[in-house]
Amino acid sequence: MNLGDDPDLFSRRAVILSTFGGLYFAVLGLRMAQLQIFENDEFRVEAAANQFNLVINPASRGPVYDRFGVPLAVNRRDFRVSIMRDDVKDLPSTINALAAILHLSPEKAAACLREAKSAPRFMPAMVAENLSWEEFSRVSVFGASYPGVRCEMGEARNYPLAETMAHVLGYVARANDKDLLNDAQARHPGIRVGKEGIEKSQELGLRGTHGATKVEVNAHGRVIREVVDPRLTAKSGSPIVLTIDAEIQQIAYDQFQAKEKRPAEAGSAVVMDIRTGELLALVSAPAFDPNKFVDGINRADFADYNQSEMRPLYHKAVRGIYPPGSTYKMVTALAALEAKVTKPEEIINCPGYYMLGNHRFHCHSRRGHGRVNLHTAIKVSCDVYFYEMGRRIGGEHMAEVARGFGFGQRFDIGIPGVASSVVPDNAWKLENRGQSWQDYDSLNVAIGQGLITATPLQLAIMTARIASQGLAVEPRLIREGPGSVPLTPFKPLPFNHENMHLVHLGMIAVSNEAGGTGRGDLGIKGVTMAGKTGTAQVRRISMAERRVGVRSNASLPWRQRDHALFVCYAPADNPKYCCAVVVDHGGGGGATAAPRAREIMKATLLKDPSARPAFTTKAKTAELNSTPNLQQTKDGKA
Amino acid sequence: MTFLPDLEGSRDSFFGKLRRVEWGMVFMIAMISVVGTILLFGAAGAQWEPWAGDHVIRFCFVTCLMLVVATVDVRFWYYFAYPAYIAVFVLLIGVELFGKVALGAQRWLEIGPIRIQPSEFMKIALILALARFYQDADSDRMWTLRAHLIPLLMLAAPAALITLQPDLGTAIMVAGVGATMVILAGLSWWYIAAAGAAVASFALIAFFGFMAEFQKNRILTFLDPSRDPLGTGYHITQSKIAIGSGGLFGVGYMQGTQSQLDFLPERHTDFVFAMLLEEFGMVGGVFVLGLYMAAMAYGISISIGCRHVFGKFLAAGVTMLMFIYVGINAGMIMGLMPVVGEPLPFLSYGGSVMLSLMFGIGLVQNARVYRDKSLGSGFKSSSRLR
Repeated sequence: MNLGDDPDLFSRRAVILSTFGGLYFAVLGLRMAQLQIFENDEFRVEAAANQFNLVINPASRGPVYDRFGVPLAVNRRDFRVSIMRDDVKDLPSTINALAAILHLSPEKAAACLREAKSAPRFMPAMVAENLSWEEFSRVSVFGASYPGVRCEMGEARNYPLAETMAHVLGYVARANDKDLLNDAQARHPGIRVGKEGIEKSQELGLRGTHGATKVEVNAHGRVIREVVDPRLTAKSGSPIVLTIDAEIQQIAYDQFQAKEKRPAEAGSAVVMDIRTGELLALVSAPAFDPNKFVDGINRADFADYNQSEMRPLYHKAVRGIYPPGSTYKMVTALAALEAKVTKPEEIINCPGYYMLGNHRFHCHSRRGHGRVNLHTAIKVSCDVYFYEMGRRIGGEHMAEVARGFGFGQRFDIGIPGVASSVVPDNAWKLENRGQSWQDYDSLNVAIGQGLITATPLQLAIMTARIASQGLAVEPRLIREGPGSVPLTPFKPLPFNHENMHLVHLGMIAVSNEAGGTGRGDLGIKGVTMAGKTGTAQVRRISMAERRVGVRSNASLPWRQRDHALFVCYAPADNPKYCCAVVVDHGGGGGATAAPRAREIMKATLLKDPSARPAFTTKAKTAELNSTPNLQQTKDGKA
Repeated sequence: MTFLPDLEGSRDSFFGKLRRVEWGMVFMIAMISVVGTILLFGAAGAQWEPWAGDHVIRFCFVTCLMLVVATVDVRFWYYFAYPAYIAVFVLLIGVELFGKVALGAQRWLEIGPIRIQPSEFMKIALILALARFYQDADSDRMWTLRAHLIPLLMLAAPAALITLQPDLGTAIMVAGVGATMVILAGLSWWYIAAAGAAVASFALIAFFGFMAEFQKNRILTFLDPSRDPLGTGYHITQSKIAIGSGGLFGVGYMQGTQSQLDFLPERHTDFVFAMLLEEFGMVGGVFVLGLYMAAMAYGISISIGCRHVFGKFLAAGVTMLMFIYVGINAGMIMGLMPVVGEPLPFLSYGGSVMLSLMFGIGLVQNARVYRDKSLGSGFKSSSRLR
């Protein structure tokens, strides 16, 4: 090349290109300054976030005991296998290998794969839990060759009494999306959240505080070292002691099981200590096995529960809304005395029906009771007497007395979903039915039918308030631990003592006098019981049916049969315990509900739980830890 | 018959030639290698194995090689230029036909136990061939496009073959070095501007037309690293965290959490500069970039000071090659450029780049040693003397 023409061209261009090069280096320098000086703080935070990870250590969930320390909800050791996505080389083949070792079904394996894929970083995904020792050791040996597979021992919730306590305790299960909004840590596969009952309402207290280990990890998630931070240690959940007596609860639950010629029934039973309001039994039957929900219930089991006519998932004792039937007649009787519309000795003639205008209201006795006064009317449960009283009192005053006995009130006993039901009056009817209160409403409500409804818990409270001679007894379910409320003396209700006493005598007559609808002996010498039967009609009986003769209850489909109710308290002279039993579609209260209530009451009186020293976690914890023989409790029940 | 006075060179003693080697440039490169050794020693957890020891041994070896290249008579390289270019070009075609596929690209040629990456050699061979071409060129009208048709073909053919492999990074380097030499040879700025516009539009067409998926992904993630934080964008995100957390003075030697805990990928090769910036901060980065700039300044100065065209172009081409290496790597780790797997010469672990670039620096030094030698006389009859 001839440099002669322009000998400086090469040098000139070399300098120009060098200048561009220099400019590019200046850009590099500015970029360094931007990243390292101006954005230094943000990147330092990101580097630290890379370096450290928090691995959650689930806190031990608080146990639940009955009033004598019988474990109702406990944690048992659980062998489980999970995988950490970040450490796994090939997710599908690892899961397939585990499925082969554990004999998992293809569907379960596919579900595991889905879960593992969606697991966040450094959050293990569960493959199998509740493993036997043999399975667990198999995975430990064979799974060791797969990176990211973790064999660990954790805690799983267990309900030793299974169905018996199902509705009170509820259950725990894996968190769903809604739970995760409240508590993001619940995504951890070892953590369960309360879904029903005590487990749900006292979740915060039972959960405790999950701990965390701060681990320094490298880019592959391998732990380089663990950093101990005392602020991050797990705090176990608080134990809860219930007022329930597991033994009485069991007896009450068994009343609804099939036995000899008796078929299994649906229903509820509530046993209460009148003086303290403590619930000794709170049963809803049939029930579900909460243990099935802990590891995720399978579809078939859930469908069984969900579709069963007897609704095992439903907590009937506190949510079930029933017409109180004749058990409501005490309220009517007291309201009549309080309103001074009658005298106890006034005689009403019962021909078997009551005429309101030209409409006939029937008594349950077709032939009629003849001449009845207040005492007899309660004893024989004469409808005509109470129709007349209802008409005289009117809806407003009856509602007022009903509220005093706890109807229409939502009692907060520390579990979710307690229903308030309805005490109807003129305002309520106008708002909900668009009509004003009529005399026939008063007649229906006076015998506990029509617009009035109540829950079994409310019936028990009503009984307790009558038995306590007019104290506003409040129910309690939690003796100790989160959710417990201090026991305050009950306020007196504004009812006349003498009037109350007359109602008492009527209830004693029901169980003890000839002609009493719920007559039966307790079987304890020197102890008498006071009670009241109820048979709540579910369907209307038409005139045509009356003419051809009322069909027997047994010939009707189950869902149309009458509810059988019975409320009682004992000992009659010095009331201690009360009990309300509702047998759903069970037929007559005296035939179906009263014998069951009597059994329960007898067991309660014989044990007399209120007289025994109750359990407190402060003294018992150490002892229980040394003898965790939950298995025996379960066997012992069976 | 008188030869033009052979002022320096051929009759000189070996030590005489060594004295004329630009030792300042050698010192700068040695310094870079020392920093590289320190970093590699730290990256291995204060171990000579597996990187730092190798790095030192390789550097000593390529330095000896460089001195040999520097002192071999310039006429040897002049005659060697075309055969070398043709040989490497044939190897490139061989890669295309029989090459081994590695990492989704065909780059290696296996001949028995030896694995050859011809594209690496092409960088030097092209510089030699273009230098010789311009040494021989006799046109008076070097600003015309016609005078540069053959050089453009010489750079476009291998660049196209390397693109097919596909190894876009190397292709761009080869084309960039060649283009620099064409510019230096005097092509009119108008053509240069037009070519620049053509390249830009071609790049767009290429992206939407026939780029391999992984290449497209690299470019897309460069534009938005958060697009795929655990995939393609992972490298650049982690690299920026490493650099940014370093600050002005760095977090300290072997204290870099990003580097030491493996968050920084390829910390001993492509991302070694990010490790330097994390552990020694901006101060360390400016120091090392300063060393590179000084080395390149020596290269430019040698190029301008050389009396013969061949040497001028050798020195300029190799300097440009070094600039492209540093520019691409430093730009990449700081997120200014797409992720292109090019190492930082003498700082990164890796033999082939060190070897080829040091060979090139040997040629630069040769232009220094034979600075005053006139290749004009007796080399080519047609070239006019002055």
